[in-house]
Amino acid sequence: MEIRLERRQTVSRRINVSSRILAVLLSLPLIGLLFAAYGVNPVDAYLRIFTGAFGSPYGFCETIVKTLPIGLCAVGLTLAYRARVLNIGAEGQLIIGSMAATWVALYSGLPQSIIIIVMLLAGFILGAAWALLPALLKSRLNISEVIVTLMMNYISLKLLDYVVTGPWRGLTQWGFPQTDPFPSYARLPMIVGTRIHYYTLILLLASTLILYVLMKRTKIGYEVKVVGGNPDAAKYAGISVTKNILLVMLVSGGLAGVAGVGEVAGIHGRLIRGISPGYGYTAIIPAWLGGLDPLATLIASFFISGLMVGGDAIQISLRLPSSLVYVFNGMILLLIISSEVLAKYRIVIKIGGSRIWI
Amino acid sequence: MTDNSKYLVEMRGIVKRFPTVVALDNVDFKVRKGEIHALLGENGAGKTTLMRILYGMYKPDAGEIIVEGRRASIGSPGDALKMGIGMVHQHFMLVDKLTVLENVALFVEEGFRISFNGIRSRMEELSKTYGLKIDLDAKIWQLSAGEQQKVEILKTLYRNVKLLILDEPTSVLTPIESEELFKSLRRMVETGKSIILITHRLNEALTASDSITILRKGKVVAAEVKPREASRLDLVNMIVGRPLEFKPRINNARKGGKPVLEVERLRVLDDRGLVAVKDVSFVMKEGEILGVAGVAGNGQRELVEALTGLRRVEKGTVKIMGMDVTNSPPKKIIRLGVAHIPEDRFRYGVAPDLSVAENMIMKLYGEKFSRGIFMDAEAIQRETEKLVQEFEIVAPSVNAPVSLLSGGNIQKLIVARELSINPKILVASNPTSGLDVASTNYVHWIFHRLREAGGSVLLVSEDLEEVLALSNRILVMKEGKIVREFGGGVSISEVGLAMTAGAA
Ligand SMILES: Nc1ncnc2c1ncn2[C@@H]1O[C@H](COP(=O)(O)OP(=O)(O)OP(=O)(O)O)[C@@H](O)[C@H]1O
Ligand SMILES: [Mg+2]
Repeated sequence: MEIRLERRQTVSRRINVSSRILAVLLSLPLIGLLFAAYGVNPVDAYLRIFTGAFGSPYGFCETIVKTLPIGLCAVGLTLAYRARVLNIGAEGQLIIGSMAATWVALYSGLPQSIIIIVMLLAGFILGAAWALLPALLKSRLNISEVIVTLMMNYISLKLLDYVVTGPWRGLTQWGFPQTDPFPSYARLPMIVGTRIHYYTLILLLASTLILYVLMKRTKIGYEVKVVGGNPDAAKYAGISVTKNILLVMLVSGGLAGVAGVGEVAGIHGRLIRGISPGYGYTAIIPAWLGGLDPLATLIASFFISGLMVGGDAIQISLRLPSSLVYVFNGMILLLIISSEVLAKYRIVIKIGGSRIWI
Repeated sequence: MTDNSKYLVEMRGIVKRFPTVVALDNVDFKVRKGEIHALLGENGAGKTTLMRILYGMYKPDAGEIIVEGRRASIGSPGDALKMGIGMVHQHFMLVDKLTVLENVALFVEEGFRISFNGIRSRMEELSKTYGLKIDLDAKIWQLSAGEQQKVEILKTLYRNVKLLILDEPTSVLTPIESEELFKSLRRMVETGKSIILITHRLNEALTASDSITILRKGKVVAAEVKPREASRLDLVNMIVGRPLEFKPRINNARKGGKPVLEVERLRVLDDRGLVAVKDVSFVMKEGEILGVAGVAGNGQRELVEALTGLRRVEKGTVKIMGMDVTNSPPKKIIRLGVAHIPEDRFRYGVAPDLSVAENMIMKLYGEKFSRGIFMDAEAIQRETEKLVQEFEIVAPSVNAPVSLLSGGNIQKLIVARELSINPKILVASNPTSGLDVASTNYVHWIFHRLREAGGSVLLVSEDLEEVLALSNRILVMKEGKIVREFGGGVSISEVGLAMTAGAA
């Protein structure tokens, strides 16, 4: 018997979609083994995850609460990834965005009526600025954006630690590494009875829609696609590669920054150490799961958020370690990446003289 | 095993369907032991597909393959190599940053241990036997296309193949290199190997092969034609199915035509930072085709890239329509009406994963194909379909990715796109490389028409026949300088001599 891969001559949309769904489905039994190892019935665990995330109004709202930061980062990343600019720095851009909003809320002294809008703008601008350096290094000196954005995540984490334990540490916080609470006029309003800060929700839906149209219908979307397809050909066609790298990095960085504003001004009401439990990294998964299509990515973000909320639920009810959720996420990403191989190749199994292929 | 044994390979009743086309429709193809067999046919006729089936890259939908009298099941290139069948592709598959020796090792070693000394001595022996000289310690990126091809050939010879398939090997070679290649091929045939040679150059089939098979639209139209018994015209008729319409003829450029391209003391560096274009000056006038002849690698590529804004100019000036465009961005140069058919169609010419339509509009996307910030989907569809029809581009659909097109059809797409911008100046590097006879003829006619309409063409080509047939004037480039200038009506041997012999 012999097993090998054979290149598919065409990759249809159907294969693309079904290979991704297959990747998610395949991760279930694999994680199930892990559950079993903890002595938990996997079926039971999955049911609890599902009901925890989508089964109650509370769970459902919490899932949306997590969809806001993950979705904002992920949708922005689709644009960057389409230009084959591999921004891994949404986490850092989010953190910088949250710091920018914090400064505006606590130290700017701006009038109450405009403070929210300035916070959102500051989050976008500083998130974008944080992405500017890797963009410049890539477009000018051809330095890998993967490495630079990743390193800058660590820098932003340290900066965050510094401000919340040093200059911005709250006077009323008994020495905890966090700032004083924002004044109420610097808090994002919520849908009553939930923690859904709806300004951010509106921004998420709007940016998804705008990016969708941008990619499908506009000149900018076309340029980004050509740059991603073959940068030399883009140059030859008179498309500025530099301009497009800057554009996609600024947009994805900016949206991650806005996600950060939502976290400080919506959820926590102050800047705290560890403001993001890795939303910027998690967002990479729905971007690929959604095939770099903003609408599909939004849906995938909702799904991944559900996993996190459901994961929290079983952590409490089944006493499982919370890191299991990250194993789960990692497994899905791994399987999606492998499924790209499946989409491009088919598996041929040869037994004796006969060939079976999938 | 009666008379079968004289055939090394027989393919019988091969059918291959792709989602929208039948690429091969019941094809029979036979190759004898110890012959050079030429496989001819239009772009998209199915030549590459047929050979990929023989090499185990594609699975035929029907048909059988018989190797040395026995039915063979070839499921992969690995299987093919075990049966003694090797293939050198249109696009080389070498690792740029590794040396020649390392590349060979990658291809031939199966275990964990590599014996470089063993490979080296075997390679030296092979290259001596077949007259394929190559520096085993050079890195691939330092080699010319012709040298890389030698590496590919040696790599397959190392595996002791009995049959070597070459897909358009001469499209990347200079005439001299081609001659050397054919000498090497002869030696291989003398040692009992067989060669399948895909080519669009009919003279090569007529002079270098022992037998010819012709495909048209996936069917065999003539098999085992003896080159001695066929003329060029016969071949054209069999390949195209009709005579060619256009006979290129030179007419003299209009006297007193305005200069459209003025190059003065231009200096350009190559990728390694060495001076590739050394203070070159020339003028191209309105309504003329100006040929640039020369052995590849003498600065032509760098010159062309500098003129089109793709490479920095170190010193000197470039003026187009009297406007200084030295180191201007490509967009500005395009806007002045300069089209460019690039030498390497995969480097600059297309984005392979994008569709035919998306590649077709690459030059005018911001003008003709958009309204405000939006793309005009309808105009894109309409224009692409028109060009696909006019240039007879064979494609599954205008929305199919370009990577699915045959090599020649990709070239046609590029030519169609560049001419669709109604250029005043066309900078064309090897514009007909990989095109079949009919398409080559069509492109020549279009160049001619462009000239009649007052346009100008800078024709940079290794195909001397092409340069001579079309150009009003010819510049010869050598070692980064223009060493000679000829008027029309000069002979091939004169230009060839200037290319190799040196300064006048
Ligand atoms: N993977 C594929 N999917 C769909 N169609 C394909 C694929 N590969 C080839 N084709 C189509 O099959 C036909 C034959 O292609 P092939 O590459 O064999 O032509 P060719 O004779 O080598 O042409 P050329 O001289 O231009 O290289 C073409 O119409 C091409 O578009
Ligand atoms: Mg071909």
